[in-house]
This record gives sequence, structure tokens and C-alpha cells, in this order.
Amino acid sequence: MKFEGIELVKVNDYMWEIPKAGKMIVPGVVFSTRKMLQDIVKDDSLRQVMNVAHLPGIEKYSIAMPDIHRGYGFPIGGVAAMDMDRGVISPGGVGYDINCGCRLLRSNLELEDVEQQLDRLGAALFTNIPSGVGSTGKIRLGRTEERDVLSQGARWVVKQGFGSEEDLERTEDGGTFQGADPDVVSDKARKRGRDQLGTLGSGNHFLEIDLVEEIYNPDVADAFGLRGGQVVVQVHSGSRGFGYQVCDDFLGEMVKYMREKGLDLPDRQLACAHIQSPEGKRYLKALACAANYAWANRQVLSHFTRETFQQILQTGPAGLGMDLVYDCGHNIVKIEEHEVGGKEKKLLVHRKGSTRSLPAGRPELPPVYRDVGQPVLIPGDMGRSSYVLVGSENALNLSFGSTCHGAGRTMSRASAKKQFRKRDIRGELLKRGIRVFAAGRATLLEEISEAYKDVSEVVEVVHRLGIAEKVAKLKPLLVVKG
Amino acid sequence: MTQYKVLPHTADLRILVEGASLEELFDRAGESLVSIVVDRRRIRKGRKKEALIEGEGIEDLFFNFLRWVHFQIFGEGFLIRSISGRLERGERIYRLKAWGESFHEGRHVLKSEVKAVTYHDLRVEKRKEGYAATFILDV
Repeated sequence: MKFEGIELVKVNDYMWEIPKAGKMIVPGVVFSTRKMLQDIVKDDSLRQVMNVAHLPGIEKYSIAMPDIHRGYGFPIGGVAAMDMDRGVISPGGVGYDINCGCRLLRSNLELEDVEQQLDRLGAALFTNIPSGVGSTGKIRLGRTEERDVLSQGARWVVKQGFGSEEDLERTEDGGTFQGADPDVVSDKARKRGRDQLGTLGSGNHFLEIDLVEEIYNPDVADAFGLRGGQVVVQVHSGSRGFGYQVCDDFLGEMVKYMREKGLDLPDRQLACAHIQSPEGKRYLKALACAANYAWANRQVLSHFTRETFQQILQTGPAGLGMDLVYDCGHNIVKIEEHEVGGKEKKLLVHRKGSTRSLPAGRPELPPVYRDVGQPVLIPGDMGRSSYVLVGSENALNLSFGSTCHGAGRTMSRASAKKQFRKRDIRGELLKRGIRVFAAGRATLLEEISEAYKDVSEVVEVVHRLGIAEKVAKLKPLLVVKG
Repeated sequence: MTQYKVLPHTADLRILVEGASLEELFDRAGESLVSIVVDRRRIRKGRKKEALIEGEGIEDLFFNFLRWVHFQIFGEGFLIRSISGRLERGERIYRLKAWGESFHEGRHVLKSEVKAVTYHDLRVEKRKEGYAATFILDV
């Protein structure tokens, strides 16, 4: 069947193949229902899935998650795994916000413990956590400290007393991306990152107080420390200006590399270098610095959050029980072992708007989750819900241990602002019990639920495919937006 | 002061700029990028900066020029009121002067954060009359 000139072959109700055409090295595969495809084909994202299939060394297929939408170069919601020797690494396959991701804090609190304090909590979080355009943090990094953040990530933050060893155990890779080398990072990137540690940022970044609304898998939920009616906190942020600049710097370098090597790809934003080339190796070291910056950032943000809860609710850390459930990125590359053609093989997996989803038993998992599987955090839009999933076996068979990352936009920011300009979004959400604290009205218009796909539909697809399984559904109570 | 149009794009901002000459196109595009982030009318021309941008071909040069403007805002905190430049060595160098001032909290309000200027679908085209460029900003 053809959608907008792109051939799609149905594999099953949730999986479609885009056959190889032209110079594609592998086919494409899209995880979606037929209904959702109607929206997906409206933008250019399937063409981008095909473009990614041209990258040297790509294995099996170029993958699109159900929350796919148009990016630049790679689609957002795209996965591409590369052979370590023949393959390339692409800054566009990670995105500007390197290691942007989510973390989830549990608590001992229930709705009645916070209900009367929500306005105060929101106001205090909004004050204590710098957010919005150009926000600067309370932490000023000296030259040595900056190197430590870039090399050690969340571990350095915990050493400063902003968190615990348990936080690190429950952060992907222990909160440190190995192999970081601050010397390969430009002064420009350092400049942009220097005063932004501990800031939320703007756009779709947020901090949310949620209520666990539904539990789908009680055993796994229990292992994650989650139960119905519980108050939890989600943080969605990334590597701020530091990561954006690292991406920009290396994109420029790789455009040159491609020209020198005569590499011809359908889109300049797919600029890449071979993983084993000096350019490729340097990018990986710089990416590691940015990944560490993002983990450090989210660790600082959770420290401010805990402090704010203690201050407003007048309760100590033990009483609040705000332990980290997990922290994982969704704009990243990882070197992992996966089965290709019946053999285990080391691969470099690009996840651009896709979350790692590993089942029980994988060596990458921290001991606390090794018998359960990885917590997978899927934030939704500010008016509907978010999900906690668990990594499952089929993700290894189908998607190199990857799953979706969120709702995915269906409408541009500009159209949303124009179309909904008369709506009282703050008031509408409040009627539904959701308080919003945001610097400007523009962000609220851009981030309105109608501009996003329904995250529940997205999650249903990955659950049915078994590339992550539903554990809990979260309902927003209070949203802090940049 | 509107010198640009916002075209539909799902995730980001797609911008169209037109100019009678390539130089006017460059200058307007740079100024538009500033206008998207901050109210340019509130920027005083207190300081002048000069720069020399290099590129391989016109689109590469245009991209590198916009990256420079972007870094002035988000890296240097230098807000640009106006730009005037000229192409040299065929279309491989853009030599420019930019007038503006440092960011002052209170006088300048940042409207939106632009993560980067992207290379994806960036076009510089000759039209019947003058030139047009489209580019996508990651916001």
C-alpha cells in the first residue's frame, strides 16, 4: 500500500515495513497502527526513516517508533544501530539536546498530604528551579569543577552532597557516561554550559508532580516502589546550551568530513563520520561530556525538588521518601551487544527520541532492577498522562532494546500558538485539577495537549508489540514549564 | 520590523526570508533570527562587532553565518540590532559588521530559546526578483 508515495508493507497490526529503494542499505520499519499512520504520513518523517537507511554500516533496518515526527536529518522517534567497524556515528542521530531524558522520583505521599499545599509547592518549585529562556542556575562552575561535571556527570553532583549513592545506582550507567574527554569540547560549548547547570530550560522541558492513577503490573510496580494513589515527581530536561553547542560544533566538522571522504547522503543534516575515524572518536568523547552534563543537571534539579518539598511540607527526607525510581535518556548513542544474523555483535545504537528498553537479565541494568527489567519513563503532554513501562524481551528481537519516548508532536508550535490563542489553557487545566506554573503564555499554547499525539495510543503500540510493557499510568497534578 | 515569515513545521520553526540581493538576504536573515528571540526594537546600537564568515558555497556560507549570529545571542549574550555585510571571494566569505549591545535583564525579554540553526532543508534560491532563503530552527 502506498501512503503519500511511500510504500508500506504490513507485517502485523503494529508493524510496517518500508522496502529498500534506491540506495537504501536496509529497509525501514515503522511501529504504528494503521490509524496513527494517517497522521505520520502528513509530515516528512517516513522519508527521513528512508534517508537514515542510507547511512554506512546500518544493521537490519532503520526504525521508527509510534511517536515519530519530523525532525531534521533523523526523524524524532528514530533508532539506527551501526556496525562498529564499517558504521558511522551521526550527531543528527542524537539531536541537539544530547542525553535529554526523564527521571522519576517516588514518595511516601498521597494526594491528601499535598492537596492543600499545591499552590505553595508550585510557586516554590517555580522560584527554586530556574526555568525558561536563557535561565541561569545558582551553581557557578569553576574550570576544575566544570571538568569534573563533564567527566563524572551525576557522580560529581552527588559528591557535592546533592543526592545519594542510591540515586546513582538508579541512574542509567550510574550517571556517568564513560570515555568523556573535556579537552575535545570547544570553548563555545563551555561558555554556553557554564551557568546553566541546575536549570530546566524551555519548550517541552518540565517538572511535574503526578499521581499514580493506575497500576497495570503490580509486581513490577512494587519492585519500582510505585503504588496506586502515590505522589511522584517527573523531571524532563537535558544538557542545555552545552549539549546544543557540542552537536552544532560536530555537525560542522562532519559536514567537512563527508565532503573530504566523498560521502553522499540524501540530507546534509545526516552528516556523520565513521565510528573508528578520529572525528567519530572525538565526537563520542564530546557526546559523553554532554551526556554527563545532562545527568548532572537532572541530579541538581532533583536535589532542588527534594529541598522544596521538605521546606513546604515541613517533613524530613525519611518521611518524604523521595527516592529515585530511575533516570534514562532518550537522545543518545550507546555501545551495546545485540543479536544480528544469529550472532551477538557489538553495535553503536543511535536513539533519537527513543528510550532504551532492556529486559531482566541484561548486564547494563543495576542490581536493583536486574531481575525485573529496566524502568522506562514515557512523559506525555501536560494535560493528559505519562507512563512507566518496563523493558521487555521483544525489544531485543525487534528494536535493538529500544522503545518510544513520549507523545510526539502532531502540530507545529507556530500553528498551535495561532490556532489556540484565545484559549484559557491555565483555567481549563485547573478545572481538571492540573495547576500550571509557566513563565509565559506562549509556552502554554505551544505545549497544549491538542498539539500532541495521545501518549496512551503510543504506549499501547509498544505494549502490544512487547518492546516495553505497561506498569503504571501517571496523572499530572502540577506542571512547571520553562 | 517583520522581515520574515514562519512556515509550518511539526517540531520546529521554519523561516522564510527574502532580499533584493544576497547581501540583503543574509542581513535580514541574521536580524530575523534575533527578532525571533528578542524584541529587536529594544536593542541599542551601543557596540560594533566585525566578523568574517567562511563557507563552501552559498548555502554553507549562509548556514555558518546564521550559526555565528546564533552564538552571539546564546553564547556571547550579544544582541544584534542590525547587520551589514558583503560577499567576497566569489561566495565563500561574508565580511560583516553588526551593531548591538549586551543582554540586559529588564530591558530585554527573551521570547524563545533557539537551540540551534539546522542544516536540514536549508535553501538559498534565486527568484525572478531577488533571493529567498528558508531554514529551520530547533526550538
